[in-house]
Amino acid sequence: MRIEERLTEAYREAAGRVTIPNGIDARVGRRIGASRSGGRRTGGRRGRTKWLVLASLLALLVMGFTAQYFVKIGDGRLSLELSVTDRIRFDPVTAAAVRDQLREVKSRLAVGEKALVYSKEIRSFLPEPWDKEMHYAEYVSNPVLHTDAGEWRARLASYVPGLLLPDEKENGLAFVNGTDEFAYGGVVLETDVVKRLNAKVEEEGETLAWEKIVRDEPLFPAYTTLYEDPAGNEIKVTMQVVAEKSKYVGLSKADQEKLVLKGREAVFSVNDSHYFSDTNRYASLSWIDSQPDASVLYTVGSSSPSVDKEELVSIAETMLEP
Amino acid sequence: MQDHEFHPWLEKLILGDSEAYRRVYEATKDDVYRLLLFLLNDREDAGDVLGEVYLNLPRSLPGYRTDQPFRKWLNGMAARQASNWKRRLWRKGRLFEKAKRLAPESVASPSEDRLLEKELSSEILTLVNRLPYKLREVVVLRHYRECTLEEIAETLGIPLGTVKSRHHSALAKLRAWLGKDHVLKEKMLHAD
Repeated sequence: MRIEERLTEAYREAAGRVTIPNGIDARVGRRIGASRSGGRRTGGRRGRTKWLVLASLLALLVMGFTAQYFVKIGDGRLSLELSVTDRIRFDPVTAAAVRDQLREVKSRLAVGEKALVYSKEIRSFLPEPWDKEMHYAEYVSNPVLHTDAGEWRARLASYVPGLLLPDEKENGLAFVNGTDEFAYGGVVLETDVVKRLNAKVEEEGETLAWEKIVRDEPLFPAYTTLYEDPAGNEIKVTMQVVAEKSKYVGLSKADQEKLVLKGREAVFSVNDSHYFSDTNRYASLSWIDSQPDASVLYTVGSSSPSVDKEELVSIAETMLEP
Repeated sequence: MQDHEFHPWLEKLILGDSEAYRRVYEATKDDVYRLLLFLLNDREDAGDVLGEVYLNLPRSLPGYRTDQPFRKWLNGMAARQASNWKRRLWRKGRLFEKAKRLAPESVASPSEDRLLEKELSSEILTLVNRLPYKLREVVVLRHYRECTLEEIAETLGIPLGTVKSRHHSALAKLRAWLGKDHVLKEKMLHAD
């Protein structure tokens, strides 16, 4: 008998003999329960601080760029550091072209699919001098839109410990949808894909390079709920659950201001060079909610120029205990 | 459960419906556990990775296309999780190499070992478990899950040429080992 046939036959026989150990269902149940309540993951990353650059501009490497100033908030587990530099280049025409490219790629993705994208226009936003060894790409996805408010809230409650939601009545907010994504962009982890995309544009002269990516494990889970305020402006509430010691670093041209929200430290940021946003602007307010097993980074933001700091603060305050 | 019968449950599962979770788990866990046991050759690890697979299922489901067989897609996901698990163990192993040398050998339960031995009681499967993990996973997916080489490349996210060469290399090693075992047995028979 050929070795291939012997293998197939041996596996068939062995499969019939395999029995699932007693108690495995309970073990799987406990594993899922612990994770949903924000428990620590098992695995090799425990105990090591993760350095994660925030989604949007400069998601891979920021070392070597001098920040003019930065603001920082954090608890013992999560630290958020927003650095400000004027070395990020921005022009509205190219930003609109980049948004068209991201939309073009998104239109070619099925619901639930994700991709990384790179182009000469994206390249033009990177600060100079840009080291050739530093690779960069943007993340785009066509996420599942959860449009049932009750189901979405239940889903958030199962993933976000100590879930805080805005008071829709008090703020006159109307729920639009929810997604398992950041408000804009996403974390780029697939370095090999990024290198391939960079080579296609830089060396082979392609105008737009993109590649679908598959992620089984959401290493940095984020959930964004989209609302409309009474004037029809979009309001995005993003939650990131962080169970391990992590440091988030953001580099942008935004104006940053530290303030106190019902006794908690928060950062208000206005970025008028935000190339994901159709208005080129994104104003946001971020704070950290410390829960026993995880920290949750909350961000309330909007791309509408008419949404000001007072409105974001007012929404955030309805989410916080007095 | 037939493949098309999964689809309504999967839609509910994405939305966090616990009954849908239970049904999909019950209908697929045996299949996934067997695959993990053949890949990892360790009942404890197979149980741990089984938990990881179902933990990640709701978030991975949006990537599932309904024109694909669901069980096959789920098995692909399990194979990738097993591969991640092995990588993490390897890293951990390097970090704790020194400590391991100083620590006493971990003692596995004799009854667990006997059970695993009984379940995998085949000369050829014993030899498969001597293969490096990268070769073994190709053998398991090809000859247990009966995936095509193209499907294995897609599942593991590696080039088709690499799958072909790993498969070829695995079979060559098995043939060589089987040949040596045969010679050894012949020698023993004629030793007197």
